[in-house]
Amino acid sequence: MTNRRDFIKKGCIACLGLSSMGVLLDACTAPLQVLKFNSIVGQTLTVPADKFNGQSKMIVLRSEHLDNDILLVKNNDAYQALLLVCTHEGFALTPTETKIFCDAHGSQFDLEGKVIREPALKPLTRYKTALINNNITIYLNQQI
Amino acid sequence: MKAKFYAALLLGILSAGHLSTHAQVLTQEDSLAVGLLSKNQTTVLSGYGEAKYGIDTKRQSAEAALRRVVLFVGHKFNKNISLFTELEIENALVAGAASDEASAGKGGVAMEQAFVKFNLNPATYLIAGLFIPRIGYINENHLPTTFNGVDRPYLEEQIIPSTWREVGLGLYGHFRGIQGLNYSLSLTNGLRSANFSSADGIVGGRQLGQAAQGLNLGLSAALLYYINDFRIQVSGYMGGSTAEEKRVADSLLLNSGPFGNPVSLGEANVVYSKNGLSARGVATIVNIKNAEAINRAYANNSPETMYGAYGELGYDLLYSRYHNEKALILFGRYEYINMNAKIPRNGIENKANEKHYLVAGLTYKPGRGIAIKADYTHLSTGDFNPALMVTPFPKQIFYYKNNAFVNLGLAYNF
Repeated sequence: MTNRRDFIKKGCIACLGLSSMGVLLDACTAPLQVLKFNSIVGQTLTVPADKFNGQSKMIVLRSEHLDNDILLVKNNDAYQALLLVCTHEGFALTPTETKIFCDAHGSQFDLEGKVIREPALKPLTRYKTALINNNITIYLNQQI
Repeated sequence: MKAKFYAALLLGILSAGHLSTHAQVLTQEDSLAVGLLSKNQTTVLSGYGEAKYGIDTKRQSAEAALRRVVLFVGHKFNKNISLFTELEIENALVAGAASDEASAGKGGVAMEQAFVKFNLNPATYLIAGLFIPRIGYINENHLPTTFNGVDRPYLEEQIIPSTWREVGLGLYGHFRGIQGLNYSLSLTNGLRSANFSSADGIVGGRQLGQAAQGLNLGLSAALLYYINDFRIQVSGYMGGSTAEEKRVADSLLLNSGPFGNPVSLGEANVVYSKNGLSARGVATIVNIKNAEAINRAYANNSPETMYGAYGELGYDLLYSRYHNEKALILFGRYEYINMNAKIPRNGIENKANEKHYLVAGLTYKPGRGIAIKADYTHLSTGDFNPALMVTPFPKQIFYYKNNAFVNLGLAYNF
């Protein structure tokens, strides 16, 4: 038999839970766009600039010729190409809209690859990029 | 064409002086991430350690210890297979009677982790060996330069065992449909209820890869969600605690099998960090379903239920100037721990196991990888149950319900 106090208590917990879930689901962001490359020509990757639509400011670049994904981030008219591997112990990273996280030991990086939380001590590997004829070229042999 | 591409790429990279085709030892600067080609084998050295000097203000005593030194060695065999090992020495010295150093060392040597990681696809990997499942916050984030306070949060040492590693399999990945949402599942050997206790709960029951016996298993699952400046995690564990062969378990009147005499643990934690401000909240509850049977078998006064929570707030006073390059973090933490929230009929309650910790202190980081810590910890508990005093007066050490500790610590990570 549920008494009044229990009912109010359980009702409040249920409301809190449901509202929290609602907030979380509202906050859920769309999945990241992934571009797959079957081949890599001339040690570069080329991405049409129009792949960045109005909302998205990052694209994951993936190829079987690469050991790890590369995150291409648009910041106004500049582009950053970041290797998505933690510089601490080499685990793959989880990018979000504002930060890049390592779920192995908690390292965090900003969208320029700089460390914002240890244990990683070094910034992410960054590759040179250039915008040529509305295509973004990533130079895999030129780390910056 | 592919061969030409590899040759050209390899030549280019070699000329830049970054790689060789042979296995090589690199510093963390280079990391496992160095290779673009899957044929590269690389080895990584890394590590961490911490020292403590703590004063017990009531007992007028102090402890000075090199708490731990951990050496990480990782090796990447190819694009999809890597090895991760952590070798730990606790309290500086492990020595036998014939040693020149001392008649006996107080320290310990342990493998903290040793597992092989298999990348199944870019979103999923499997690990096998001795590893730390994703339970609680500190278990995966235990490097001492990354948390405030000289000691790890007490809840995550006493209720949720810290660096709780067992032998088994773990599956990790992220959901492709929701950016930032990760999952993990693990199946390991279970706990050993013979080593449970009233004051330390299930901590002594960890088997830590030491030739665990019995068929009991531990199953854990976690969801970890990164969104904006939040890290949100829920995890659960359920495992059998009879680490005995069936013949022995039967003689002790204990259930055996994979989930005999189960221990269940639920936990949630939320971490927020932005612009030098950080906040963390962790809550957990543990249930030992057949604690009465365990007490009957081992007379170890196992509790039936334990729970607790803590909240921590910190602010980096140097953030606006150094943006994490250097830091001076002022922090405060409150922890509530009840190790005897529910006691079985044949157990003896001890109110001393209901604890309130108040911790305040500073973490100074003169550069990345180094932390100098100082904190003041106040502990208050309930009364010690005199029925549990086995040492008669005057040898019985006086129990202080309220005590305070001043701790200094030094930590590194590279």
